[in-house]
Parts: sequence; C-alpha cells; structure tokens
Amino acid sequence: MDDLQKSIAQAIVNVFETGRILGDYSAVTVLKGDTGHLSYGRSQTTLGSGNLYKLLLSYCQKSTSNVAGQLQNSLPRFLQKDFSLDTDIGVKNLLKQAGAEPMMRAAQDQFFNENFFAPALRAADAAGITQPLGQTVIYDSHIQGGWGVLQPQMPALNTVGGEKAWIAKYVDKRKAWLQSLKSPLPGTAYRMDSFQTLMDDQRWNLALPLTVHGVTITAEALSGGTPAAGSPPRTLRLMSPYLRGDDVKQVQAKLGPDSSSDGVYGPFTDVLVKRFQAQHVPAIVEDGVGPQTRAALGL
Amino acid sequence: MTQFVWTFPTGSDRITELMGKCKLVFPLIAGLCVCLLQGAVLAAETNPLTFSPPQVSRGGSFQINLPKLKEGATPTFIHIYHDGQLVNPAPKADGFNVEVPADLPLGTYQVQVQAEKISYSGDIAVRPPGNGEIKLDPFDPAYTYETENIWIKPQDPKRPNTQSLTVALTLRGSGFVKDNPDDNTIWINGIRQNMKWGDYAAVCSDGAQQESGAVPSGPSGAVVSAEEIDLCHVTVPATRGLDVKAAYGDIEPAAGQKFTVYWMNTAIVAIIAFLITAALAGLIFLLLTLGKQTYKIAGEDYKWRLLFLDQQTDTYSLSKLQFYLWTLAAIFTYTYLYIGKVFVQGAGWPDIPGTLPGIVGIGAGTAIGSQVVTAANGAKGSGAEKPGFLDFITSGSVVAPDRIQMFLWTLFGVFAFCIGVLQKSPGIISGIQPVPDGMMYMMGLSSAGYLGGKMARKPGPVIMELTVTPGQSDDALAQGTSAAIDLPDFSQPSVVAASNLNSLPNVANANAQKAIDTFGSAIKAAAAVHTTSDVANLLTSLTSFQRDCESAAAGAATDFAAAPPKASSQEAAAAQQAAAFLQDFSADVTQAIAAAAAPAMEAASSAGSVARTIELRGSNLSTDGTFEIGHADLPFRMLVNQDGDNAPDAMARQDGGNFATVLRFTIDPAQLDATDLAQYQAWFGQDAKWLASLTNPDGQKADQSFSLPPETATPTQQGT
Repeated sequence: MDDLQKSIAQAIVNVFETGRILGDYSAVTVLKGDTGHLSYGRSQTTLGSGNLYKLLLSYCQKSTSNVAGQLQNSLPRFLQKDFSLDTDIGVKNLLKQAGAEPMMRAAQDQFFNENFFAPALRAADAAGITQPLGQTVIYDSHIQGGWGVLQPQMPALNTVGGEKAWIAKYVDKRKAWLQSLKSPLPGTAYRMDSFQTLMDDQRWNLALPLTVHGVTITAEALSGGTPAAGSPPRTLRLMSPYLRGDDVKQVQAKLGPDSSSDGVYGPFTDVLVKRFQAQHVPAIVEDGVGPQTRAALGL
Repeated sequence: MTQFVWTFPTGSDRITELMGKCKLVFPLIAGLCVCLLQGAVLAAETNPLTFSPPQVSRGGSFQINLPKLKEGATPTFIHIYHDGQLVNPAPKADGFNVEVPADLPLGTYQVQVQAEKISYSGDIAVRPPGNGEIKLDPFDPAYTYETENIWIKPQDPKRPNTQSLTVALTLRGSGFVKDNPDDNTIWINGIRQNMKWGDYAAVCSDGAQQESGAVPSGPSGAVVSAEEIDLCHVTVPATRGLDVKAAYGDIEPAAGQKFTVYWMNTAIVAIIAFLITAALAGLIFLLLTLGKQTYKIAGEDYKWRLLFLDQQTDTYSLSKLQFYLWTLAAIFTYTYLYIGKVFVQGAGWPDIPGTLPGIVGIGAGTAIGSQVVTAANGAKGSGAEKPGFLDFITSGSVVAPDRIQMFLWTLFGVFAFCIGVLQKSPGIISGIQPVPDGMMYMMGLSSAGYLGGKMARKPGPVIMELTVTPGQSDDALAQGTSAAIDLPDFSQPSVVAASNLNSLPNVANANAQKAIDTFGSAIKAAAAVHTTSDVANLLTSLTSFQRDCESAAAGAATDFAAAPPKASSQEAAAAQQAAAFLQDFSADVTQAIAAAAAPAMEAASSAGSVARTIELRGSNLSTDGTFEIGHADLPFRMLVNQDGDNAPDAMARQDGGNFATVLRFTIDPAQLDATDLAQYQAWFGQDAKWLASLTNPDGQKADQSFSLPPETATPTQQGT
C-alpha cells in the first residue's frame, strides 16, 4: 500500500466516522457509558480509554501554541480520567481550537497511524491480505472495532479460494455481526455495504475517484485546501461533497461581484467558472479550475 | 324250604291297633305312647342272634345261630331289612341258612327271625367277594386352590338353576370296586354322598360352568381302578374343609382323610404380598413426593430418588440399593408368610423368622460400612452430572469390578430368597426357610469385597458447583452494553444547521427554494429521531436529502446561467449554500452516530478479549486432571494461572497432595493462538449450554453442566 492508497484508506474510514474525507480533527463529543465520556479528533479518541490523554500529551510536547499551553494545565485531569471534563466548556473549546492547528492534525495522524493503521496493516499481513481494499476493510475493523472478535471465526484464507474471497466473506460476516448487535450499531452496517460496492466495482487498488457513502473521494479532496509546501495547488471541480477551502475563496473573489465568497465550490461557483472560461479570450478549455484558469484569474 | 311272607308280628298288630285308638282319642300323645310301647314290646320280645360267618359275600350264604333252640326247630319267618325296608324279593333260606343274592347291594342288613314264638334280631354285613375293605389313603396334596363354579339343575324343573362352588377330588387307596361302582360308598363331612357313577365322562367337563350345561346336584365319580376313584362336582363347604370317608355299603367308617380347599393360591398370596410391600414402599415415596424436600441436580428435581442418592456425589448408591432390596425382600416374604398362616391356614400371627434379621443385617452393615469408608477415604467420583443406573457398577464413570460383583450377588440373592419362600404354598407354609449358611457367607464376602474395593480406590472428583465468570457470552456482553447506549446526540449539529438555515435569504426561484426546503426537511428528519431504529433510517434519508438538495442547487445554478436568467445570483448562491450546509449537517449527523456507537462497539469488540475463569467447587478435584468442555479438551496451554504458568489454580487445597476443593481455570483469549481462540469463541462466543468434565488421573471423573448465561442465579444443585 503506497501513500496515496493509505490516504484513500484513511479517507474511506474518515467518511464512515465523520462524514468527511479528511475527518474532523476538531470534533468534540461526549459519549454515553463508562467507557466513553469525552471523545475527540477525527477518529474519536476517548477519555475513558486513556487514549485521549496520550494524544494530548503528544500534541502538547510538540506544539508551542497558546492553546497547547492551556491544555497542558489540564493534562493531569485527562490522565486521571476526570469525567467532569465532559461538561468543561472551556476545555472543550480549547480542543476545538487545537483541532485547527497543523500540529494537532499531525499529532492525530501520527497517533491514529501508530495505534490503529499500523496494527491494522500488521493484522492484514498476518491474515495474508495484501490488496489495498482488503487492508482498508481490516483498518476499518480496527477503527470501529470487532476485528479481534470476528477474525478468529474466519476460516483459513486458502480454504475459501483466496484473498478476495476471504475479504468478501469477512465483509458478509461483519455485516451480519453488526446487524446482530443492538441499535445503533446495526445502523453502521452501511460501512460493509460501501465495501461491497467497491468490491463489486473491482476497486481493489483504491483507484480514484471513488465514492463511499455518498462522498466522492478524489485526489483534490484528499489534498484539502492547504496543499503542502512545494506541491501544486489542487484542481477545483464540482463534486459531492463540494470542495471547500481558502483556494475556493480566492477563486470566488476573482469571479466578480455576482460570486459568493463562502469558499464552497458548488454548482453556482462552477457556473461562474465556466462562464469565465467561455468569456476568456482565448476560451479556456479545462475541467474545473486548473492551471490555465488559475493563471487567467491571476492566481 | 321256608317261604318268607311279609307279616306283622303280634306286637306290631297291637301297636297298630293302639295307634289307631290313640289317633282317635289322643292324637298329640299317640306318638309318644306308641314309641314307648313299641320299644317295650320289641325290647321284651327280641333277642340277639349271631351269624356264621359274621359277614357274608354277595352270592354266598350265612347261618343264623339261635341260642337255646330245640333241635329240628324251624324259623317261623326270617325277615331281612335294609334301611328299614324289607328286602324284596327276599333271599332264599333253607332253615336258618340264608342265601345272599348275587345282586344284593352291599351294606348292613337287619335280620329278624322268629322261632318258637321267640323273636331274634341281628345285623349282618354283606361284603364284596373276598371280604376286602376299602382303605383310603391320605390326600397328597391335601389341599387345592382350584375350584369350579358350576350350574346345578334342581329336581323341580320349575325352579331356576343355581350355582355351586365345587372341587374335584382324586381318592387313592385300595379296595375300590370297579365292576359295581355303587358298592363304593362315599361320605363327606359325615354325609353319605348320592354318587352318580355312570355319567362321569359326560358330566365332569367344563360344560357345567355354563348355565346351559347345568348338571344334577351331587358329585359324579368314576372308579378308575381298585386304587383310584375320581370325583367331580364335590360341593365345597363353607368351612372349606372336607372329611372324606369311603367304605362298602352304608356303614360310615370312623376315620376319614382331611382335605382343604384354599381360597387363595400361591400366586394370589404372592401378589397380595407384593402389593402390600409395594404399598409400604409407595408410602415412603408418597411422603417424599408430597413433602417439601427437594433436591435439584442440573435443574431436575429429585424427590423419591433421594432414597438411592448419595448426595455427596450425586450418584446412586449401591449399598443403599442393596439395603433397600433386602429390606423389601424381607417385608415381602414375611407378608407372604403372614397371609398364609393367618388367612389361609387360620393359624396365629407368625413370629419373625430368624433368617430375616440376618439378611437385613448384611444390607445395613454394608450401607454403614460404606459410609465409614467414604468418610475415611473420600467419596468416589461423581461421574455423569445426573445420577444414572450405571452408578451402581461404576465409580466416577470407571467400571468397578467390586461393585459389579456385589450388584450381581445382591440381585441374585434377593431373587433366590424370594423364589425359595414362594416354593411353599400359603396353605402349608410354616416358616421361612433359612438362607443357607454358604449363601450367607457368600453375600457377606461380596459386601466385604465391595467395601474393600471402595477402601482401596482413590477418591474421585466431585463437582458441587461450577461458575463461569463472566457468565454471559461474548455476544451477550456486547449486546448488553450496547443496550445501554442512548440515542446519538444531534442537538449540536441541529442547532448549527438551524442557524445556517435561518441565514439563508428568501428566494423566488423554485430550485433555490427547493434546495432550502430540502435542507429544512433534513433538519426536521433528524429532530424526529426518537428511537435507535430511527437512526439507521435517518442515515438513508439524509443521503436522499443531500442528493435532492444538490440537484436543486444545480438547477438553481442552471437557472442563473440561462438566458435570460431565471434565477438571480443571490438565489443560486443561496441554493449552493443550502446544499453545502446540508452536506455539513449530514457529516455531523454521521459523526454523531459513529460517536454514539463507539462505546457499544468498544464493548462488543472487547467482549472477545475478556479473560474468563471457570471455578469448580467440590472435592477431590485434581490439579493434574483433564478438563473438557463439550467433550473438547481444555489444554493447559490455554490456561494462565496466578503465577503466569499454563496451569489451573488450586484456590483451596484439600489435605495436601494434588487435590483441591476449589479449582480455577483462567483463560485469557488475548494470549491464545488462532486455533485455541477459535475454540474459545466456540465455547463462549454465543449463548449455549455445555457439559464440563473433570477427569482425575486415575480415570474417575465428574460432570457438571453450565450455560451462558446461567440458567438460575443459584448453584446448579441445592437443598431446601
């Protein structure tokens, strides 16, 4: 699995967990039950499990921001699993602010990579699964949970006709298992439906674009609004969900007074872009806002 | 040759005359007067006479000897009477020599002679040729239970038939007259029987048992030989005792032979004795059944079976079985004896035979000895969870020869003892035959062998309680936790979405308005979620709302791009924003649902990693034993004890050694390889009932079932 496939795999699971391709690094939720309580980040690290303390400790050790400094003071409460944090609005606001910091995003990426993605890849390797889609299925089981329960119930890979057949069987079994649990867990069986669709479409290599649970994952969507230094800006085009970001705002600002400035590349923005491209001399023939349009707009 | 004529003697004429007068004058006193006068006259005028020979054969002759008779005197008359009737035709006489006709019935005849105006009288017996005597042998057997209820045809044909209980007899002896059966006279209980000799074959059949085959009253007989007479239809008297006599003629012998018709035979008495024994045993069973005492083994109530149960091991006890069998045999045989003596024979209450305490003592001694050995040496293995008949010959499910031999000897001894008693019919039984010394010795040796084997054998495992912690299956643990999960919290996304909705301007374009309305509908749909099942539906509807809203936004954009424009830029922008807001809202809802499901999923995921302990409580639980669940081994490699070793924990050791009273098996699924984990999940993954077995190194084992979840909150067995 290469880096792009890894990003796609994580994006798929992000869609399942947050409805967003890149996840919601700022998401703060209070979960019910003794094992939950305050949860945070794109994959809902919980206070009750002790993992939230580990994540924040990693963040605070790397970040020198003011938010990190304030959260540092609350670290003992996270260590002690102080459930009064569930209702501490000040701390919850700090966590939301921290989610916008690249350092927190990096900390979360590293945390989830070490605690979930890497173990999932090892488990997949142990099970003989090498296809990126199969590895994504196993990663999803590590994020949502249940791999340890279901994997021992699976037959050996060589007895079911190979890797793809094994993954298909596992997806079926996992869907049945989710549906056997009490609500709201049966409602999450859509994850398996999404994987089944990808298998039916033979998307074993996670070739882009692909649509999961109504969300289309593209390279542009994966790159986000703030491309890494040195990398070219993403091409803006109409997709679902709409692309958003500062780069969209910049384009909207150049499209004239009729344009909105909400930073959403929706159908209205797309119409304005196409009108601009058509009215430009010479006309620009480009799908979305690519290098030519961007240059014509003076960006 | 003197010709006999029937004439009244002088005395008789006078009597007749007087009687006529008496009848006329004093009718009530006449009889008395006549009798007195007749007696006086006869006594005064009749002298005894003798005969030579004193008894005569039919066809022979006899000489009448008269005392003081002048020489040449002849009899005035010679009258011979039989049963008061003058014999007619009269036998021929030559002087005082009388010839007996060949067809004269046997019997005693009164001879009256008058000579020289003096009357003489005497009795002479007419016997069969040869002057033999009937000799009746004692009956063998002198009793019977077989009677026949026959229909009797009355002499008056106008009267209805009656029934009579009769019996058939076989008389054995000597001197029976076959050629002329009427010569054989039968008396029963002093009554001369009116025998019918010619119709035996026709009458003495089963036909008389039907009313259509009714026969005349009185017995029928057939002289089989001089040594045997068969009788049928002999009426059974109320006393059921028959005093049977046989002789020639009409002189009833002084002594007869006794015969008894019993109203109960061996089978009936045995059945009654059995029923009484069963009733006594049933009384015990009834008390146990009606009583509040209950004992449960693996959920099954044990009441009357408690009698045979060794509650220490929950197995059937051989020593108790032996004790009860011998006790019942003693009761049965004594009841048989009692009924025979008291009700059949009419004798007194029989004393307890000396042999009974001995056989009951063997059973009691074995039972007590068994308890002593168990207390000293430890209990046998409990074997299967529920007691079964195999317990009588096994110890901890291992076949024990010492138990087999005692089991067999007990069954044989009881059977032989009862059969031996029944060999004596209730009519003649006088006591219970003692068990032969050799047999008593053998049974004692058998019990000693049983106790010796019990003492030599190692104690076996007994599981009184088995507890699995946690008691729920992995699935139940997962579901039990998820059941506590509340609905996803959509409040925050809904507040944000409502705010966004309010921020949108009023529009006139239909597509823009549709996009905004669809966004509003999605918010309402989320607010309408009241049950966990609504959550899954919301996910589906949100996808639909999102698709419709994006389509409407695209339509508004198209309207904006149309020439002339059908929508303003504000309207197209508002539609785009509505679709974008709905995408955000849908993502927030998805995230909220995922967040709400996280604790349930964590529980469900961790259920399979919960370490389980199986704790056995009982006795003689070997730490080196083999433990099975559902007939599959639980290998030591799957265990982890408190020291971190792959072995069970002896939580409470029993008198040192390798036995424990509390034995704990701990399984940590996180440390199992795939194969063992699969076995672990097969055992504990789903709700199920399993049979667990602990087998000690010597092969004795104990079974105990358990279920996930536990069937009751109480231990698997209890006494209340």
